[in-house]
Amino acid sequence: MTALLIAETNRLLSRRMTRWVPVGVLALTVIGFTIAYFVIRAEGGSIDFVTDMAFEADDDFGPAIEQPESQTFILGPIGFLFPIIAFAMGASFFGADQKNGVIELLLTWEPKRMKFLLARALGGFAVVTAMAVGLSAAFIAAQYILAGSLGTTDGMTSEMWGWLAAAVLRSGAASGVFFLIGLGITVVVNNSIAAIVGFVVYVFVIENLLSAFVELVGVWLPMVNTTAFSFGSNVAPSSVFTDFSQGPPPVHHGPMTAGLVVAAYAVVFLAVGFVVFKRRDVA
Amino acid sequence: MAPIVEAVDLKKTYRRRRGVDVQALGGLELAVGEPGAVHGFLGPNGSGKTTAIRCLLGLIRPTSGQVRLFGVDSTTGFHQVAHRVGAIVENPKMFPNFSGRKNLSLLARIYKLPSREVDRVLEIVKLDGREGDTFGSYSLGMRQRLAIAGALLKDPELLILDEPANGLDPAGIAEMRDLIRSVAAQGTTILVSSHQLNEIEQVCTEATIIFNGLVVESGSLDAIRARHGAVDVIVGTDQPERAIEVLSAAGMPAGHRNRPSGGEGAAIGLVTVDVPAADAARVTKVLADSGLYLSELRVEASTLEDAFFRLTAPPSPTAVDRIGVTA
Repeated sequence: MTALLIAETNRLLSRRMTRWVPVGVLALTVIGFTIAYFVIRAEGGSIDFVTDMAFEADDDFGPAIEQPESQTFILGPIGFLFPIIAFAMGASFFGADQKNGVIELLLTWEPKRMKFLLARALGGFAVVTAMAVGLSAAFIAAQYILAGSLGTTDGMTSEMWGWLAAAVLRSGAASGVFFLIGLGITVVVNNSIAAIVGFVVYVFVIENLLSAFVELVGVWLPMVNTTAFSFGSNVAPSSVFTDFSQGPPPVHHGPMTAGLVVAAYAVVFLAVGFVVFKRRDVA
Repeated sequence: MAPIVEAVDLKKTYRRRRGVDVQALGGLELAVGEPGAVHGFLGPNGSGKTTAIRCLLGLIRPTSGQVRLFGVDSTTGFHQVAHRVGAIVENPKMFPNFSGRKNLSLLARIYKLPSREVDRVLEIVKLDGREGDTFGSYSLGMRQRLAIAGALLKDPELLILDEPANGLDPAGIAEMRDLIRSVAAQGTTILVSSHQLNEIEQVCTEATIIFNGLVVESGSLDAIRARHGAVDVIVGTDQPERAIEVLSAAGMPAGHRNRPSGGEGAAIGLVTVDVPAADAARVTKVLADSGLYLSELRVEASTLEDAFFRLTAPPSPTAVDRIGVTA
């Protein structure tokens, strides 16, 4: 199993997508923050690293920090964009090999399909998690440098750094989980393009509709829980039917439960993928 | 001792959308027993060769019947013998963006094979020197060779090659032939599917011919030729149409035979007569009695191709038509 795991990890690392995604994200980060630097400087603005960060600190982290409108400026991509990229990587890792027939070749080397898919899942989870953590760290570092040049980083305590590091690690793990979900769904639907398009539609349309109109379901949806898990925030019902007149609705569950919810999605999709892949003719 | 490759009453039906079932294998029987044998697996396109190979490799589940490699049921236990089997199914399949060496190294890693094994197989297939280029940039011949290198990496006891000469130029086909011979000479049993019959004839010692998912003949090439390859009598005359009429009327099915264009004696028409060699004298007599004199007469031993066409051609209204088609 170890040899297969190493081989599959190497295979994923050697893929063009695995190489170009970090390059693309880093390039966009550099370009984005360079533009931001010149725009903010031209407007005479400044950045407060602590205030501008997307702290959605929960009760575990002392008093919650006021949420400025710009909160998603820094952590938004980490909690939202990376899972989508990770899903696409999981889908294409299986889909491309299925399309060009390499799965057939690999199964003549490792015929135990459970073992094969498990190695692929574990290798992919490790690679994508590490990649997401690295890119998140780079993203935050860019923000920190920008704030140091055009504002202040004062107030960043060691406790806050700890929270931020945990958020980065959790969001990295969440990305890894979405790799698994992408892999599992693609195995089931047997078409990576359909899986990716379906997922994007789900993220941007269906989950928003469900959250807005089906209050009881909304707290269990994957993207809501991913964001909560990554940033250590709580999940609370928030639909068009929620009564906010009496104050914010009660917390439904915390960030750790949110992480378990997301992990459960991965387990379910992978399990279904295992069963389908084991039974399916590979041709 | 169990046969190396064995299929017993192997059936496979593909369930298509819209409820139409397609039977690819209808009770295939296959046995390859001799170590070091090169066994041809022949059949027209769509006859079920690749489906049978996929069943052998555990890639698809048979609808019924049994399929075994080295005595192990490969539907459920292929993993027990995978290290003894190298295979290429249909087209060569590798990662297009990886180099030849990278592709092989990733496979070798699964079995913890040392990198010198990669060098060894690259040398066998004569790809050393181009191993750094991406698989996607290879010609079809090079892809086939790399795929064979991948199959040889395990140093298999059984090599299954599905249409290895597909798309190769004459030089590539000759190289493939030499490669198959050299691998077999080292004791590896080879099951090679193809419809390039002259190639099969040059490398195989035995063959199984399938048609519509069923075996129509199996055995040594000599035995197949002897059983199904009729010996044709070829006659040359300046009135081939009349010769065909006369011979057919005398109960000797005959048809046109093409002569290589521009060849010597192009003005003389060739006629194939479907009779045993011993009846050659009767042919000359029948034609002479009708005032037709021969400029050429020869007896042509049949090839595997003749046997193949006889076994796999759809039924035709008359023997004359069939000969006309195959000639």
